[in-house]
Amino acid sequence: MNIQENLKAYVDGELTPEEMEFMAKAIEADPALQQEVQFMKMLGFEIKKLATEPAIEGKAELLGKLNKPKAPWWIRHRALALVSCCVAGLAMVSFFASKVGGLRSAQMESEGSEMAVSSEAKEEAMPSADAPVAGYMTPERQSAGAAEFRSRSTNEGTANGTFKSVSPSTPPAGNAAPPVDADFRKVIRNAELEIKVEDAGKSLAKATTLADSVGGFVESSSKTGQQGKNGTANAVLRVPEKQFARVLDQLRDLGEVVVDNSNGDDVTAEYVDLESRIKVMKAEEDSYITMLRAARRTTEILEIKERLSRVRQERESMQGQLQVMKSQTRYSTINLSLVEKVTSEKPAAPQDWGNDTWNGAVNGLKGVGRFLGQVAIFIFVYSPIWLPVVLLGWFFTRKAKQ
Amino acid sequence: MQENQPGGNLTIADLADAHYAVVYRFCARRVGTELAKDAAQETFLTAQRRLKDFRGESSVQVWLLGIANNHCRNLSRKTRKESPLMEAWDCNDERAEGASQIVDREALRQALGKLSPEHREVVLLHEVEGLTYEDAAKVLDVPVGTVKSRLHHAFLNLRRLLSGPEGASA
Repeated sequence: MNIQENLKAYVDGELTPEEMEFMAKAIEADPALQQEVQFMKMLGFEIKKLATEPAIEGKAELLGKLNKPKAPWWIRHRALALVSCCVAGLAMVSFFASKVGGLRSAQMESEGSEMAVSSEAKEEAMPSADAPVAGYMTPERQSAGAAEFRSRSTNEGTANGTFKSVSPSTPPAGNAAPPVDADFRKVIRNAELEIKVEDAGKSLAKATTLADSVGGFVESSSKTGQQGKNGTANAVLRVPEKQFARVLDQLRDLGEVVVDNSNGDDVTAEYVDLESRIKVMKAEEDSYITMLRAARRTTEILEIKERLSRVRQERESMQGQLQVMKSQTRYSTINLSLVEKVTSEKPAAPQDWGNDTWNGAVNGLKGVGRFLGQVAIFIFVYSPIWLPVVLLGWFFTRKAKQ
Repeated sequence: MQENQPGGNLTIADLADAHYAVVYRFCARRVGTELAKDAAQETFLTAQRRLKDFRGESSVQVWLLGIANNHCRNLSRKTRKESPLMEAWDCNDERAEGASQIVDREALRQALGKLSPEHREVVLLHEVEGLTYEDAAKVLDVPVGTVKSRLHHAFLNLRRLLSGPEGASA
């Protein structure tokens, strides 16, 4: 044990009892150590006396600070709160912007597929289109009339298989509906469908069977190419007017619809007009026949015959037109094009759930990275706005603390 | 107001009321009266934030002096004022009247000013504030052996300084 090094600790009583006893014996035996101990005691005493007792300052001020209610954290860290709000605001704006963009694109995608299915329903739901008719019909007939009053609606497929509406389905202004019973309406319906199918021949057979099953017929059909080698098939189907919508729906199920156009032409006025004129012609014809029977002079007979012949020709022509119109309105026309899908494209191999999960996670991470990047760019770009505010906040906070 | 966990219902205001004088005097002796108020107030504001972390492993006074010591160190570093020239150590104290003097007080004040900051810290804590070696070690956040060694060397230095041509008066 080093006696010199422990001398101060001995004076201060900071040694163990054994060490104290050892040191006491050593000091007792050495007068120089006794003098040293004495000096240390006196020096300690002098140091203690030398220290003043300064007047206490600032206690009341401190107690006031400590008793002051604690400001909320956003006041104490207002600069941080401001930056956080800015970042959160930017994040929300970018989030909603991306969401709105996503919704729009999803809406565009779904619009095409829904358009084909719900075009008829949409037209029924459009009161403006049916307004002229609605006032003259019972509720049951209003819906039927609306379906009959369908005018042109065109959906065209785009390259990626989505659809967009080309023209709204409103009745032509010139065809303002007269107060005619809905069952009497005469509408010529036409549709054009182009569908991508696996096998054009089989699909054509299905379409033919479908037309037959509803009481229609195939007006014409043609097929080019070989099955599996981009073959195509075309057909003109004539189906009863009442089955038109149902047949179209079933045809759309044959494959991927590329073009879907349908239009309706209300010819009720022309039909009624033709019928009336035929009746008038018939009456005129009958009167000429009566006059012919009563005529005695040759010149008179010749003149009546000539007029009778002219009226008869005109009536028969009108009757032909009426027959065509009846046929067109009774049987709607569907121009069907069936195109085989390109077989060179190999179908994507189905991925297992692990790959799906992995791809989903990677895409999610990319999304997060993109989002953080956007936030960083926003913060950087808007730094001329928020940075001075933050610096001022920091400056005043420091000032307030001082 | 936060509560002092080991102490039960003690608040920082209670602690400030009870210990402000000790802390203020310690700061005055460490950095001078000019900066003592700021150092002492900063000590209690820090203590207010850290009160929930106080485990009661030392007395409240030792804990407060530890915080105060850190603030004084930082203040000394900032103001580049390593020694307050013992301004709070009065060599003309009336209490000294009549007491036997083995050293010249002015020489002792100058000798204390010449000590290294570490030695002066430990002398202040033990000799003036009256802390044990263990408490001084907690305040300085050093082992007890370091306190013992520093005190030993501080007194050796004081003796050497006071034994010089101007120091000894006995």
